[in-house]
Amino acid sequence: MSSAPAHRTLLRGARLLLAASFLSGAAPALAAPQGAEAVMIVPEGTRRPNDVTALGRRVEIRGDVAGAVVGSFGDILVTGRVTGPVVAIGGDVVVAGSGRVEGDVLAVGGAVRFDGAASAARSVGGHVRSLGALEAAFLSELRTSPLAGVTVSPLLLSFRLFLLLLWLAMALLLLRTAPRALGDASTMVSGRLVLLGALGTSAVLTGLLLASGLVLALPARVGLALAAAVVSILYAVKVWGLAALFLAVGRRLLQGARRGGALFGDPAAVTAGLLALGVPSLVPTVGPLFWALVSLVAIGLAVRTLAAREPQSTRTPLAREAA
Amino acid sequence: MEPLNHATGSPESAADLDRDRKLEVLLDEMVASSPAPPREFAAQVAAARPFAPWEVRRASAWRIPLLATSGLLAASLAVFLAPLGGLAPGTALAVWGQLFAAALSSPVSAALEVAPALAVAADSLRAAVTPGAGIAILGAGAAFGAATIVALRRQTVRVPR
Repeated sequence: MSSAPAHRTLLRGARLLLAASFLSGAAPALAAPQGAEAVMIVPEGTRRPNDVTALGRRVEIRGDVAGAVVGSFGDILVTGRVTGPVVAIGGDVVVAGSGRVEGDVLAVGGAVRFDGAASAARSVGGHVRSLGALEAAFLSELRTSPLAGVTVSPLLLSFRLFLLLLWLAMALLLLRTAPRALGDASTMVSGRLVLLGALGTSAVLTGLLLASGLVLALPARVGLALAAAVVSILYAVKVWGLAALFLAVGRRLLQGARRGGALFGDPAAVTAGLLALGVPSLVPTVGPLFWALVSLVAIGLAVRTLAAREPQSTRTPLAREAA
Repeated sequence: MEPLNHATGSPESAADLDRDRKLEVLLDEMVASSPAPPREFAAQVAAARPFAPWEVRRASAWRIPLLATSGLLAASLAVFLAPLGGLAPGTALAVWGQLFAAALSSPVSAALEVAPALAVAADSLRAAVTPGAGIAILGAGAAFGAATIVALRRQTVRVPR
């Protein structure tokens, strides 16, 4: 629940690129040169006529670059001039002094900072985006809002409560449209959390690897579009799995509820499950970690449900014995 | 036409028919001689029945979800509006609505904005790595997927349902 659904999609996309850059740049990074060789420098007074790409190295642009600057697992410092975009994957972008970037400045898994006389308005011709923090997009909205002077934490808490509401609405919608399928899926949780977590991790890694491979193997726009499709599928799987997990946890919590009581039934169970799993995610630091684990179990549950050849409820005891 | 034994698919013999008739009579006698079920029997059975999927269509099942959604919305509003006590209620609500709409839609616009820069970065990375790297990563992804499927199948075989 740590962020909006769309945030998660965006961040997953960022993680795809992180994985891609890690895997593609793993060898150079592991064999990272030490000392001065670990830094790629475009010296002051020189001009590079094309893109600058660095894998696992820090980049310092003191001169001019007539193209893009792309860094993977290394920071980028700009004190010179870059005509294209500056993109750091798994690192920070620092624009300092009289540094100037004509294109966009983007940090995936890092931050964008301005030192000295540099500022976003003065030093960047395009957009400045940082996808380093989970709530980066949300916070960027807060920073540009008239509420900039108000303490942020109550706003974040308010936003997270609202996101819990959205999760609950999605899970209830799924329950309303497919109650039997969701009920069948929820029965597959019992006593198999570790297995489901492992399945979920494996599914996420598969998706990340496929998306990263697509980005690196195909032309950029096609690869990014296909990678986004893979991420969207993963996200849909997570939504289904979470709804089933809410139901399973809620059924366990409310198993003593009697027919006719307000707490009886699957809608109440989904609600109880969401509150049991979602409220702890509001706790700072531990909450997001807890939610990440819950998400992995949910993805594993959804994958297991999709892979099941036959829903459990359609099997009679005799059929189960025969199986 | 001779009646069929549905278990074996072969025609019923006279002995089979006679045995069925006797069993039917025996059952009738047992029902007639057994005491009537208690008055609340039907109610007890109904009360013990688990929640059925079709019951999600009953409005009564949605009281708690309605309460929870209202509670979450109220909590979100309360936490947000607490520091804005100086604003008129209408203005504060409008600020809440606009800010949350922007916060939910901004990731989409952010993704669209950074797409060209990401495309440039992807092209640069592709040019910087060995030509087969993308294919190798795709292969690794396929291998992970295959391992997941194999693990699932083994698990399905081991755990009787």
